[in-house]
Amino acid sequence: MATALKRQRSRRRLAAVTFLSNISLDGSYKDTRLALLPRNGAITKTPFIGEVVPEESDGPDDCFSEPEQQPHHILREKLQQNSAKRCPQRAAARHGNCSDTHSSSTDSEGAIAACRTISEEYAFKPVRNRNESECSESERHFHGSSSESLEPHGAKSKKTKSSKDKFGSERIMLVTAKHTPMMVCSYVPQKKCNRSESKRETHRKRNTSLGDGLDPFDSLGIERVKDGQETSYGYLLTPSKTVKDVPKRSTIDDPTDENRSANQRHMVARTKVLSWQPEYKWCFSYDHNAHRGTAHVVTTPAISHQQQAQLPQSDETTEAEVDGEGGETTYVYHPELLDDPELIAGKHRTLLTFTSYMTSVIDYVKPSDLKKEINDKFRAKFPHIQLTLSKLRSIKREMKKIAKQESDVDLLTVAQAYVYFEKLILRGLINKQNRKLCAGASLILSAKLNDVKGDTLKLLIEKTETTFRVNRKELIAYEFAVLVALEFALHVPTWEVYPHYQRLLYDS
Amino acid sequence: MQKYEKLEKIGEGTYGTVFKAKNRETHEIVALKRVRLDDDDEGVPSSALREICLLKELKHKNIVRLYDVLHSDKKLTLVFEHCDQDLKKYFDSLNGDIDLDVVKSFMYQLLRGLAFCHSHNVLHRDLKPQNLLINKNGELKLADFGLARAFGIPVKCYSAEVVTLWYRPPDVLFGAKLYTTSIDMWSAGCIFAELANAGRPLFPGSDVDDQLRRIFKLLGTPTEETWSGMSQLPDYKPFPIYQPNMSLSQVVPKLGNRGRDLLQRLLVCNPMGRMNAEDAMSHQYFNDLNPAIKNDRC
Repeated sequence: MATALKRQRSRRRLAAVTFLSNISLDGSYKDTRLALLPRNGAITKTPFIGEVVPEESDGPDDCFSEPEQQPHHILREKLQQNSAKRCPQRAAARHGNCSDTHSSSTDSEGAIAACRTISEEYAFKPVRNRNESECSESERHFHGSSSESLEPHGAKSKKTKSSKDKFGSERIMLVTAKHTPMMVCSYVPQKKCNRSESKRETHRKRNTSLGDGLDPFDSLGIERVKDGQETSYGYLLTPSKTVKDVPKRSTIDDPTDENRSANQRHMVARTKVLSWQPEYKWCFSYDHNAHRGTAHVVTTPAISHQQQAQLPQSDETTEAEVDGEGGETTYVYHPELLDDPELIAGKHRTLLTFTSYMTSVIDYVKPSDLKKEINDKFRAKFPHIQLTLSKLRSIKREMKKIAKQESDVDLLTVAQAYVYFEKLILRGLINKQNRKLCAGASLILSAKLNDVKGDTLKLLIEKTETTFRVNRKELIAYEFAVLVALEFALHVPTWEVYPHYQRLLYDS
Repeated sequence: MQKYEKLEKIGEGTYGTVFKAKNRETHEIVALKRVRLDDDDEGVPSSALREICLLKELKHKNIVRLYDVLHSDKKLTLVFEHCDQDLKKYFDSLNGDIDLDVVKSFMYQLLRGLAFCHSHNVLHRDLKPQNLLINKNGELKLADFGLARAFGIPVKCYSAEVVTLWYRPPDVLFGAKLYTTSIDMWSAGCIFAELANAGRPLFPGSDVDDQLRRIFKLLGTPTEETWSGMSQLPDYKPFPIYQPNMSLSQVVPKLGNRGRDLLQRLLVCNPMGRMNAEDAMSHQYFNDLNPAIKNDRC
């Protein structure tokens, strides 16, 4: 009996959620899930009245239509996970400040993404009921129970009466005492809260019209004094931490073979292992160690020696440890951290471990599938990076191509430029708009420190312009911004450069 | 309101003007290097880039300190620790006479600064009296890292156009494009002799040939036996065989036996045979160095 009641309530809740999340912001319904439906009367019909179980919810939002009673916090968690997967930055931002999620997006893709988060978020936002105080006791109870489940904090309603600035990009719904919806309006802030997000969109627009004027400093997250004033960077002049004995992360997830040097030549990522077990005969295992020690992460830049000593053992801690604020994540750079040479075959390989030798079978796989799989893996590993691994690799190839056209620009210059560029990527500073400029600037900076000068340097800059199709003024502007973003730490230790250099030598 | 008040122009550096200036808040005297940035140009001059990136990592008592980098759209200003004079000006003020303890102290500090650079994978590549700064306390500091570079991964494309002619080692004079810390050790040797002679340069050559001739006249022309691979150097050309006809005691009369021995170990034509900075610091010439200077680390 009690469960039947509960179920009924949950249905009501679902109906309410569906209704609310399908209110269009601009009246076009393009931003709601109803956009997928044919434009007929179904849209105007209010599903709130009847106990309509929403049918249009699909895909990752399915958690709404699950008939099982779920504890609210799990539902909420799931939602957050879903949205976090889709756009981790937004999700991260939301933890700090909810209003950040709603950037005024302009392009269609962005708009859809934004609206998705809006609708999802809305599912656990309070219904602001202006008439609440006039509700009868029983109605209040009803309303209370339904909103309680929608909004775990239990902080609701009264804010509505206060001034405008208390609304943070939400929907306000006016209902009558009998809960008939009377008026719904949305409040979307015009100010660009999420800097990188809004930046991205404006950049995209500008890029179509000759891509000029995006500020390299803003794009790389550097704050500086405006109005032609001098900005001081003295704070960046402390010597770089020499993490000399940074534990080289084991790129091989093979427990049977401790000999790493032998494995390094093994250029395929093993994910499927077929091994002989005395009792179980042949034994399959998939990706059993894929999460192990993929990134050594230091939460604070000042890493103590004890922490360093602990790092090698903390192989089980998988990925980025985000510190309490949910913001800063510091990865310790390693030449094979991002562009892992082993990340080329994906799952499509079977390694057979015999007593006397090992062999692998590589299945045929469509290149596009392989690319997708590798990029997915990479994204899972580094959710904060906006670049795909295949794009990173293609940019690196282009950087090499630029240098190769110049006889005097050696591969060491390229290797060092890779270090700079990858460090920028690791810091999450590279996006679609600035990636070529930053790659070009990295190459030029590296060349300047490697005795490339005069005509050779001129030629190198020209080649960079043409290969990356960027204009010189922007490229030069990015040079200093990249320098600052790297905190002037261009004098990098040999062990960071050498693996790149070796790979370049090997490839050419 | 600018943070620094310009006091006077000190000189023209390789890439801009150097001013003496005062910090308006702390009243500290600093040296400002101004670099103009032109939009259509090649961006940040590589010498400024090297100074910023290398001096960031090189914090040492015997290396000039870079305090700040100021950037605006049109110019870049590097704020350095200010020293009263450079070794060249110091020589000029000496009138041909120098205290041998000062020679020892300066030479030791030069080697210590150099050892620090080398241990941090940095070659200075432009050591000369003008680039060694002296302050009132008798401290010597390496300055002008505009030609410095990292070493570590050997590639045959280091620039051969480095080091002011008089202080350039024979291998680089022959066009060597792969060199290491030995390049600075030769310059240190030349400066050591110049210190001992109160500012008279050891090899004041007029061009590359003259420079090599002067070197070989003093030290004897190297052969394939003493320096294997010499004849394969890009700009190698045979020189007449000079026998070392002058002993070092004639060249640096004031320097004692131990000092001459150190000088001889630094001025070796074959770069492989040149002493390194760390070893030079523990040479017995410095046995009787004022312990206050010796222990005065960082």
